Amino acid sequence: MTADPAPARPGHNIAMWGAPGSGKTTLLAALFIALTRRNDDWKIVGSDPASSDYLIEKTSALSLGKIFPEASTALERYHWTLIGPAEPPDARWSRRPRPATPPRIGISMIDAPGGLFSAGRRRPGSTPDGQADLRRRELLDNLVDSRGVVFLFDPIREFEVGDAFDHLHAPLTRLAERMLGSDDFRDGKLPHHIAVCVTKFDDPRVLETAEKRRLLSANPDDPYGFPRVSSEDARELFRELCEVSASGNADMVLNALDKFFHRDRIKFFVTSSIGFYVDPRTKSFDWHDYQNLLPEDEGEDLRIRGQVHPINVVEPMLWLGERLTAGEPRAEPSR
Amino acid sequence: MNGDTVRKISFEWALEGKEPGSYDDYELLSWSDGRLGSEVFEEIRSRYATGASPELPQVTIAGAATKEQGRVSRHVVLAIQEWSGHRDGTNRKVAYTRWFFVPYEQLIEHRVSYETLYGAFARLPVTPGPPLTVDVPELDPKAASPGPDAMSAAALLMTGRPVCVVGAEGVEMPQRLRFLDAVAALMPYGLRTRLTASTWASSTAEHKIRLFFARHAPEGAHAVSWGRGVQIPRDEGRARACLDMLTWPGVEPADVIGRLSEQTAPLSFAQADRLTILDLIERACFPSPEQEPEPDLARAPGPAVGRDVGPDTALTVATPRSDVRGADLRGTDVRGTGGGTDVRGTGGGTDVRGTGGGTAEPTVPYQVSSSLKPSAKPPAKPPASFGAAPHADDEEPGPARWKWSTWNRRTQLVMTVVGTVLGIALAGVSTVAVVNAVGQDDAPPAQSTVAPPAQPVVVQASAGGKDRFVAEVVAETLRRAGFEAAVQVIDKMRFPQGPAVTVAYDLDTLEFMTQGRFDGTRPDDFRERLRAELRGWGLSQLASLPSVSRDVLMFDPGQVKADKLESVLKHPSADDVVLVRDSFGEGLADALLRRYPEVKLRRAPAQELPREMGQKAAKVVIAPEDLGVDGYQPSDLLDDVLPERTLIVLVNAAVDPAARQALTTVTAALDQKRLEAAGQAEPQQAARELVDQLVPLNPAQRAASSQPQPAQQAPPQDKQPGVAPQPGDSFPLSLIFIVVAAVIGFLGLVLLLFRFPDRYESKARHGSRR
Repeated sequence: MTADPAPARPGHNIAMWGAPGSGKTTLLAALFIALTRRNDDWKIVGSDPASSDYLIEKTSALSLGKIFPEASTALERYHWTLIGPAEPPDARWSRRPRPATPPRIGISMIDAPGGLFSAGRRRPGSTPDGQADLRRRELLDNLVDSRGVVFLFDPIREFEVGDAFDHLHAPLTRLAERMLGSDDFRDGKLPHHIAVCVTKFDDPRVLETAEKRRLLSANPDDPYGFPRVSSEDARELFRELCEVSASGNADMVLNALDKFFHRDRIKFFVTSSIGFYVDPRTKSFDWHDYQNLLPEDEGEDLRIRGQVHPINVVEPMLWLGERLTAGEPRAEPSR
Repeated sequence: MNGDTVRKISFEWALEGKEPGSYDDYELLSWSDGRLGSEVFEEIRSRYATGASPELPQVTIAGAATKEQGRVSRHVVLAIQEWSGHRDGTNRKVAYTRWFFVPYEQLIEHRVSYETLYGAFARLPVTPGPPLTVDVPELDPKAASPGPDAMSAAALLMTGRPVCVVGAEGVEMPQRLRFLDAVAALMPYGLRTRLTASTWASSTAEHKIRLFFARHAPEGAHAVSWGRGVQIPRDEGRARACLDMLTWPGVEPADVIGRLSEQTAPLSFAQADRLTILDLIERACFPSPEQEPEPDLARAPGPAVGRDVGPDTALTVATPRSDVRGADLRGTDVRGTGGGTDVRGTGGGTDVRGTGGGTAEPTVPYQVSSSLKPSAKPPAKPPASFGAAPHADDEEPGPARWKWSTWNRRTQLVMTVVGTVLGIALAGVSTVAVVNAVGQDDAPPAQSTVAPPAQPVVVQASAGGKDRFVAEVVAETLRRAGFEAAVQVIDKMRFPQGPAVTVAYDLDTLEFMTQGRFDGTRPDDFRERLRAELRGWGLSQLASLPSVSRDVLMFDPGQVKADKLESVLKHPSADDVVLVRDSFGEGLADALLRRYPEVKLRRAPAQELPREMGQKAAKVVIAPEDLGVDGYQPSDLLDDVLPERTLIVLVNAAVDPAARQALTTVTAALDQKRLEAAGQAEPQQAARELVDQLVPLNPAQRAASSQPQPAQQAPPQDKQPGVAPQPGDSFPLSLIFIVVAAVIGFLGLVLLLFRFPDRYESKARHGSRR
């Protein structure tokens, strides 16, 4: 018995890119919940049994077990299909209306251990050359094949460690080197679309920074009244958060992105995979009690306090999916 | 080797994990200060990452080869992944992976199982200190008890693709590890230098593990269900041959495992090595009788361990090996045999060189395998390896060669010339005799001049289709292996007492044996039942071929319109019956009735179906798709109910083991492409051409084989095996050749003794100065 090849695997490769602990795996784990909480017909379906299992298990772990997924230690690849709301058929020329066909966006998501994105910093006496790591080479191969990237910027880690630039510039440089001879790099810019996600929006330090800079807005259709940062303001928040980088190198992240990617192919999102806490009685956001991450106990797993309300988790995927679906501009997903 | 012996083995180690509170990713934290550098550990941990398991501990097995100063050093690697008990900077639990590297040469002298290795290493502290040795019991062949899943997994590894064990979610790691041990034990021990296996791997991870447990098999991998065998894909002839051998009646797993554990020469899963592996498995399943010792060779000193072995050393390297990374293959001592590789265990010696630091030890000399020695029985041919591996004659020295060097040059030259002349003369005589024999219509086959009385084997099959062609292939193969074989066309299945090979479809066979009384419609159901029935009938399934036929629903459009067919099945009138053969299984009938509860079946003898259909005696018929009766159209209404039938080759206990081996070899090479191609031609000629490709003939055999062998309707009686040849008209001509050759030989001898030696010796001296 040979494992069946998945039928009509999607062709859009999207790579998750970010430092260890920046939330790559958690963001993927929250994807199903995020789509389910939306008031539209977008949904996500596994394109093979293993990818479906991941959705089912991680969704259960987050929503019921209220625990975070384990960090990736190998290159993981998930094949999913995003299925959108059915579009009304064009019946002008047809006497018999045809059934509506919902848009489908196939994505092949690559989740790699964050350490593979580092510049190869090693302990004394260990291998000096990061390229020796076979998984780095495989990751680079995947980046070359991808045309969509979800880049996660963890402001908390940047504040405490300050290595976001370290985890961007090395693979970016190698990626550019690999694509130097490609037609897609003829204009000096990488062909990728990149969704820059500022993660951990639910952390008070991030939320308060956004609030102080008056970058918050609210969606009038949101029954919980969660604060948000629009994509237009997300870039500004990113810049502000770079100011508190432990290494002082975070500002170079923005410059590096602008240098290597087309400006119109970069979009910023301020995200939270677990979202804010919502009191079950009031069922609305409370500025005085919004932390959804329980304080750490010694030797215990990080736990989620209440329901998971992902913020801007689906949007980067949909944006990438739609941009990568060449020549098929779908209806802008809205809430 | 019984598992009682415990010996210390040395190792090197590395620890992968995170420091407590670290924000970094997993990395090497520490490692032993031995010969292996951190780059070796880095590469291995990077190459064989299996993902993050929610259930720890888990074990991963791998092999590592390093090259030091041109010498290859091999290690068996065992990694234990377990929780460290501390957390990283983001409060996530940190797992440790402890990598242990054991030099393979130690594991040749003291063969071990993975389970015992794990037991020894698991007890060690996280960062072991000197002395870096552990006590490990020796491998006990009786401890491994491979089930159908392990045998299937071992067979599927012969395809070169990964094998994933599924359905083992509730199975604990130690039991999984024992499974990996069982699979490894069913393959030559030397494969442990390259086998990668894991008790858990992420279903979504992109890893390089060859044998692993996972919830879902990734694309391209074979899936084996825990506790159950698996149906080997039809186009995987080698895997099917391997499974057939391992499950052969009378083959004891413990014996096979014991013999395979003797095969310690490093092997890989590269294409060429897989042929060797299959050959070694065959030898382990069907060992040849013990050979007489050859004292000259046994005393021959072997090259020292670690010494560079030159290309002219006749005992070196027989196995083509293309997939050994960084390996200097000249340093690997694999002793070749014809058609494969006979890798001998060394007892006190070793057959892995180039590890450095070793002392010179005598190597056990190569012994010609029984299948290559002259024997009263026809030579057995290794499966799937003909034409791929070098002949023993090309590589192995015989006793005469050792004496050769002790004779003086003059004698050597004389012997050479005389031998050459006589050889030419004899070849000429033979050629003339053969030419004459071919020219005589009533002359007996040339093979009867040398062959002992051949065992007659009946090969039976039905009249047409692929089974007839396969029967011709079987008969041709048997003839070339020295047996007398003729194809009998049978209308109704029967199983004679004497040596017989039957080519038939599995479902037909089961229907015949059970008279249609069997349940189930899935191939797995009835194949299990078939195995049991075959045992009861004293038959063995030699091969399962990639040729499938199936029953189809057919209807006469003159009597039933296509769009009314289903209503005939759903609500039949009095004369709306479905004609089926009398052996139509009860399980199939039940399945049919579940679909159409009112359907009416009328049974008729299978051989009557064409006649009844020719007379349009039935509106609707269920019959084999290749029945080929005009006027009936197939329908796909029952395609999901009616099972496929696969062509199988059966032998009874009277068939000689050598014949079985020859057939195993050839049937393993019968892939779908070959069967399809051959189906277009006349069966006997096509069979001969195919066997020609697989087992090339010598001229005498070719001449004999060119005689047509008609298919018989009755047992053969016109053959008298062992009839002496008639000299015929070729005798005087042959005599002239012998006389001429003898005269030439004598003259050559005189000339050489009295004239040539001086010149030759001076040349020899000149050569030696160089």
